[in-house]
Amino acid sequence: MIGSLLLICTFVGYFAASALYVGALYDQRREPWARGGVYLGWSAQTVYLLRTTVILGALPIFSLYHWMAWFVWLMTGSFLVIQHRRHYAQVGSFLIPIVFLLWTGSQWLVHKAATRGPPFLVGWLDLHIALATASYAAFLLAAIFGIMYMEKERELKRKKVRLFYYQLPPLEDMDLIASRLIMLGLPFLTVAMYLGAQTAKVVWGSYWTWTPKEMWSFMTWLVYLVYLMLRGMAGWRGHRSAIYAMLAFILVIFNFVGVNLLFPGPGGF
Amino acid sequence: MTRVQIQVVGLNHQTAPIEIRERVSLGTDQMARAYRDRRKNSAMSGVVIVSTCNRTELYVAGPATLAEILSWWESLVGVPRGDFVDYLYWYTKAEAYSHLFRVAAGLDSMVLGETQILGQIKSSYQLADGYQAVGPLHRLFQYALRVGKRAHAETGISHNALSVGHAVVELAEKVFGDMGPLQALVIGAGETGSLVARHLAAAGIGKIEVASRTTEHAERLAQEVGGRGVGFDRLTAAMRQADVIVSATSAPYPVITLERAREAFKGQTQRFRFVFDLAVPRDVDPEISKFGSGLFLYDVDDIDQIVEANHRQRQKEAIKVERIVQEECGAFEEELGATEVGPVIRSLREKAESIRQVELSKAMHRLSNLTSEERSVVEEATRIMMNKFLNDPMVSMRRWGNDGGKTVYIDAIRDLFRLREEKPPTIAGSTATDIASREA
Repeated sequence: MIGSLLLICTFVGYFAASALYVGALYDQRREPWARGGVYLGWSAQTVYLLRTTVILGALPIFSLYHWMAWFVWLMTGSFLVIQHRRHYAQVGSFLIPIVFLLWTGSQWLVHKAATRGPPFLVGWLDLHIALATASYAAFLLAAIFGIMYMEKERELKRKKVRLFYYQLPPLEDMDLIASRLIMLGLPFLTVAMYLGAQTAKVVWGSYWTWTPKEMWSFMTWLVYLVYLMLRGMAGWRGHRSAIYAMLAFILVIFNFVGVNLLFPGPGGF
Repeated sequence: MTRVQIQVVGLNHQTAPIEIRERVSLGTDQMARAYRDRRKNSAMSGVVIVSTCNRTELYVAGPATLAEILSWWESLVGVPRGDFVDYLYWYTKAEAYSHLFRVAAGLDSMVLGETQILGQIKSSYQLADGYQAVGPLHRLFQYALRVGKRAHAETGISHNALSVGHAVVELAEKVFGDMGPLQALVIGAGETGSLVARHLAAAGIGKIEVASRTTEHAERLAQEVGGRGVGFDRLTAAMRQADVIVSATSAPYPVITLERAREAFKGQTQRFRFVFDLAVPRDVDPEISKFGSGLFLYDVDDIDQIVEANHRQRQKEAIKVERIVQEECGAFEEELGATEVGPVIRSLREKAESIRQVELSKAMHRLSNLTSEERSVVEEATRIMMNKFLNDPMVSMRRWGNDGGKTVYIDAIRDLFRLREEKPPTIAGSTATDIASREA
């Protein structure tokens, strides 16, 4: 009962926020209302996740359904931090609708909490998943900054300014933020993969078992590492960097959706 | 007593050509004379004159007729009214308030939404106040200043550049954000180059270099904007270092050729760079934009397009400002109505209250053996009776205050109840300097 009420509040909050944030691109007076929607949805989700944690006695990240909720919560939370800075409220117009769709889509997944791993692994496995999630969140945000960059750059290059010219942060700032997010996400992913390998060693007796999941994760890691190298050494900036961040995230999507659906197996989502 | 009539007579850039505007405008000396003068005329209990290069407007409170105001104006500037009467507008009451509010918000300005006019209105108001000429216009001007402030704070009416100089800064900021760490190169120290260099300096750009064929010109401009002069022989090297390049020479051939740009930008294909070509004929080979994905090249026509788009943007915001003007107009009228009936309501109340007090104390004197509880019951009863009796007239009077046709009723009330003459309606709440310090 309380659970469904919280879910309804989350839905209403995020839905209203999505509509209002897109509307805020056209009229900024909608922005405070949109933020109100985010606060509603996010606090309802916080309570929901806390409640589930208490009921399960552990972080609710052991089924795709719960994991998505946790991911959306993390994304929205980081947005609430970012938007405090002038200019970055408009990130909401891109992020919140995506997050809302992700969350709503996840409602069709099985709600049941999945079986947990062997008890001796509990803490490490939690950390493994939490860190991987945090890195995905950073990568998604970086991709969103990439989209925003491309939109604004297109208007500036075509010299026909309409919406994004007026609304979005300066190009250089968006470029820098995207790269910082990836700089933040990559160490998370590195540690997550290290923990994953340790877990694999304990459970299957080998650090590396050549599962598709492992290979895709490694590729993702490599791709983001190359991104940072290109920026650091080859001086990549702006346009190319933005496209790279967007394409790289497609790998992440495939990693946590495609691989799970196509090659079900150990390693979770 | 009838409502104080507020009116405005004036002309502006839309109604009158510059030849007329300059003849009828009032300088500081003339205004001083005007404010001293008006004391002779009891039909003008308050005057504020707003005179800028785009408008001259006389705001008058009092029953003065248009002819009186015109002959006054005529005598002040020494121009026969026949010469400018065709260009005038004359608004009274609500039209006058909303006119001033629109002017204050920049809606009536040549450059839509500009902020200068608000400062001019403020200083006109302060000047008039210095001569104690504002009278019943105090609240009107306080409202006007508030409308201006709200318009700039709550809408984007004053955002987005409408001139070339501002547009260059705005575009650079759209790419780089903070101007502090940037370096600019201005090529050509002529009129346009100087203008843009000044704008960049004002926007707080980190470093400016000025290049010109004539070294003295470059040095002079560089000194003015706190930058450094660069010889044409070092142009390529200076280009290489600059984030913002502005070219505005009068050269008949391209200054930034394909070869020069290739050399200057070699190995910097990813770097953000904004090149403004403000010269006609153009200084920059349009092909240079292929030298980098972070390179933006805008010529005069492109900037015009941005300015046009910005203008459309301001027009959209103007609709919101009109809403604010309407809102404040309503609030002002309501306040005006309340200030007019306020004194009558107050004296009616005071009269009733003093009768009650006198009669109550007489009665209490005769009923000396009442308990304190009984005394308070009696006292309460007289008070309630008085309040209930006065309630309907109060409500009606407040409504009359905002209904021009019924202000005469208020005079009737005064006669009917033989109310003592209350103080004349002071719309003046506080002085202009008070307001100014609060505004700041």
